Amino acid sequence: MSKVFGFSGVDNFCPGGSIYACGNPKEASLFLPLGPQVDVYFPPRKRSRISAPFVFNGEWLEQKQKTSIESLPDECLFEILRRLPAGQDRSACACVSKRWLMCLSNICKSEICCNKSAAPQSSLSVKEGDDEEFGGEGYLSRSLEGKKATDIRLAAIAVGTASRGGLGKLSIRGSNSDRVVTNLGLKAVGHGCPSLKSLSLWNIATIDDEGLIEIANGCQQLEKLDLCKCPAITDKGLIAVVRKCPNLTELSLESCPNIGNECLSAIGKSCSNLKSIAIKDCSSVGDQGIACLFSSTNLLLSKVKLQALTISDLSLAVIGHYGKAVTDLVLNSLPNVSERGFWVMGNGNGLQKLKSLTVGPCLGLTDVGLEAVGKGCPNLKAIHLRKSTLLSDNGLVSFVKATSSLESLQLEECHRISQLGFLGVLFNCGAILKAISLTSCFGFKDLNMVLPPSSPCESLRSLSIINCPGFGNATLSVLGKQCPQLQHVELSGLNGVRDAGLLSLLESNEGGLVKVNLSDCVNLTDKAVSSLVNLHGWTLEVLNLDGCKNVSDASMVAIAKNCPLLCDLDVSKCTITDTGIAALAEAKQFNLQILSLSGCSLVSDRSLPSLKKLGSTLLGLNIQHCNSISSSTVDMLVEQLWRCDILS
Amino acid sequence: MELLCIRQWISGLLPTWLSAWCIKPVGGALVRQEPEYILLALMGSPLKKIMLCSSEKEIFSVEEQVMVQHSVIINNMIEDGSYNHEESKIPLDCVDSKTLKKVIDYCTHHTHHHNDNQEDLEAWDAQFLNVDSNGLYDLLMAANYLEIRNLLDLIYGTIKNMIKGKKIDEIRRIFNIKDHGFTPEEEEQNRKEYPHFY
Repeated sequence: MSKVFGFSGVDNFCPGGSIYACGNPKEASLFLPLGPQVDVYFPPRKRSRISAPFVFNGEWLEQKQKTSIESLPDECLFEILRRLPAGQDRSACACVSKRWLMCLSNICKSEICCNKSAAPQSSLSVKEGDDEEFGGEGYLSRSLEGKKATDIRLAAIAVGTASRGGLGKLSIRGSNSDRVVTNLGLKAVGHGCPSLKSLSLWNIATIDDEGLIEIANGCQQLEKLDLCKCPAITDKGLIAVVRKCPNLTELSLESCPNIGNECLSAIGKSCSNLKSIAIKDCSSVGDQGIACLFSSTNLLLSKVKLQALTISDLSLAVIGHYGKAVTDLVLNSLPNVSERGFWVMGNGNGLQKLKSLTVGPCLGLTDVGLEAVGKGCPNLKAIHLRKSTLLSDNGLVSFVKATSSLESLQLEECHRISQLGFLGVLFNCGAILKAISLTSCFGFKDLNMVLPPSSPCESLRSLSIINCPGFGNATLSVLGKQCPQLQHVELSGLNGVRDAGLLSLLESNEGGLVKVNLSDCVNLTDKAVSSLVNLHGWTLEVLNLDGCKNVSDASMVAIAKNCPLLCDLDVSKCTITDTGIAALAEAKQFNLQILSLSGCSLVSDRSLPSLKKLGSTLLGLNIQHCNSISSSTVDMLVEQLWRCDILS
Repeated sequence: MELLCIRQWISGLLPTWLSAWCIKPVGGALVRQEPEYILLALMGSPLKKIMLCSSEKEIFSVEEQVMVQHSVIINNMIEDGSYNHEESKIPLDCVDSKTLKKVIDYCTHHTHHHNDNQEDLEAWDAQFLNVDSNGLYDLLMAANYLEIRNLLDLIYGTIKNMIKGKKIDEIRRIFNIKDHGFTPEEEEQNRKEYPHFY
């Protein structure tokens, strides 16, 4: 007896072996008539005797300690998962557990294998089908931002898009949260998205060269790469991309302090398809890198943007000499570049194809420099100068004289420019200049000048003066006489412009104005607007009177009568009332598409029928801050003007 | 006496070119190598047996040729001479007796029946793998350890077929995956994006 109680639980108590020694308690055969060799006195485990009928419940199974697939090592899981063909099954497995997802994302195309089927032909065709399916053509694009930018999401994207057309464009915006993208995520993308064409990584401090190398190895069809604020990436990673992705055409680097000259010289050597490069705020980039980049023979850059770099005159000299294919050049905030740099660039005679030049705050851009550039770039069509504080009227005029094909001139915050310079440009532009734009040039003073008679500038089509406080009526009337063929006029934020000035401009205009923007010219009244529409209503398509407080219903009446072609009207913050809107609605042949009434507090619910009538052609309506329009009216409008996009 | 008969029999079996080749250099001189050793080496010693010791200290005796043909690990052990036929046994501490017995069954069957037709072999394999998931994983770990390529492929294929075509909740149940490791947001996102998989 004591032997029985002292029993410690060994299976060979039962002569036939314990029936519970084998794994699956569900096997039915176990409970069929027990053979005589099995002792019915139950197993030597410390559990109560279970009498027939045998009752199953869950806890019995748990006590059996069924092991799970989780106990298998990673390499076994890898082998199992890599045998799954690309398709739904893989996407489903990606959602089973995190471990399966990460394992799947590590499988690259070459590692997937199919069943060995009996007929060799069918296995071959299955394999080909898989090759095409995996990675696809890169139709899909994904963007991860903030909290969603994690390795798991990336792995899920890599696995999920592989069989649905393939990932073509990926952009990741990092954040400062705890779960971030790391090299693992990029590795998953490298393995799973061979058709990736465009990759954009912003603000991710946790990825470094390793991740970029994985991308380089896996995504060899990469065409565009954009890195911003990735401090851990160095030359090594980028060189790997440059060497392995022959189709790279656009590269943009911003605020990556560890990318420097080595990488640029590698680009010069290996990238033959690169067309556009933008480097901003990378402190390790210097003259040497730029020199290697431009002087290489197999690289023909056409768009170049260099901003906030420590490069000096030497780089500009190189660009001026070697930039044979450059069509768009942007130089912003280069503190070490002096007048000599621009002079050498212009005299280098290499920038023959330059069409567009943009120069930001560079102290080096002086009169001499600009003139040299004008001489040296015979095909220059557009120039945009920002904050060129040293540029004077003489310099501007000599520049315009030196160029032979300038079509567009844009000056922003060039405070030494005054009317003289401006008018000098108009006189000397040689009938090619089409557009001129001045923004925030505080050097303008409205002087009454007597000018020598000169032929008017027939080619100027577009005039844009924004926020130049000295601009006034006198200049405007001179302008009017000088530029009779204007079609687009933009006079924004000019307090000095009054009705008389505008009138003289309008009267001199022979061509017919198409787009007129008079926003924030607070001193304009109905009289000006009425004259405008009377004289030019038959060509006017876009009219913007945003912020013109003195414009009221009378203008609306005039507009309604005279502007059959008007499609975009902006009367925000004007003193328009319901009468005005009603007048608009009465117009015959009115084809208004976009109407903006934001800030018109005098427009109330009574305008509803007029708005509805206008709404038959409206595509966009802006009634934000219209305090007198109730929300029920807004709802009704939204309901009835279903074609129209309403902002309220 | 016996040895002489065997020797003659083996010499008769060897093709003539090989008999001529039974010469090996020993200490700078060419010495004629006894033919039966060459043949035995070529055939992997069919009569020799090796001992495998499971984690439960149970000893299994198997024909050397059978294990050498299937298991890369055992093949390497025997080739590099670290295994002494008279005395040693190969300890396999990660494989328990039950699994080891099954592995030996598999190798033996496949060696002796490798000329059978494909269907019969597949049927035998299917029957062989008719075990519960615990047993399957144990077999997999054993085959992985011993590097038995065709058994591994077989088991991987079986598990893959268990996964194929199933919904995610079913897969988690079959494979007893208790904690999927995703955060609640991620799990919810997955359910929204792929509702037909759940």
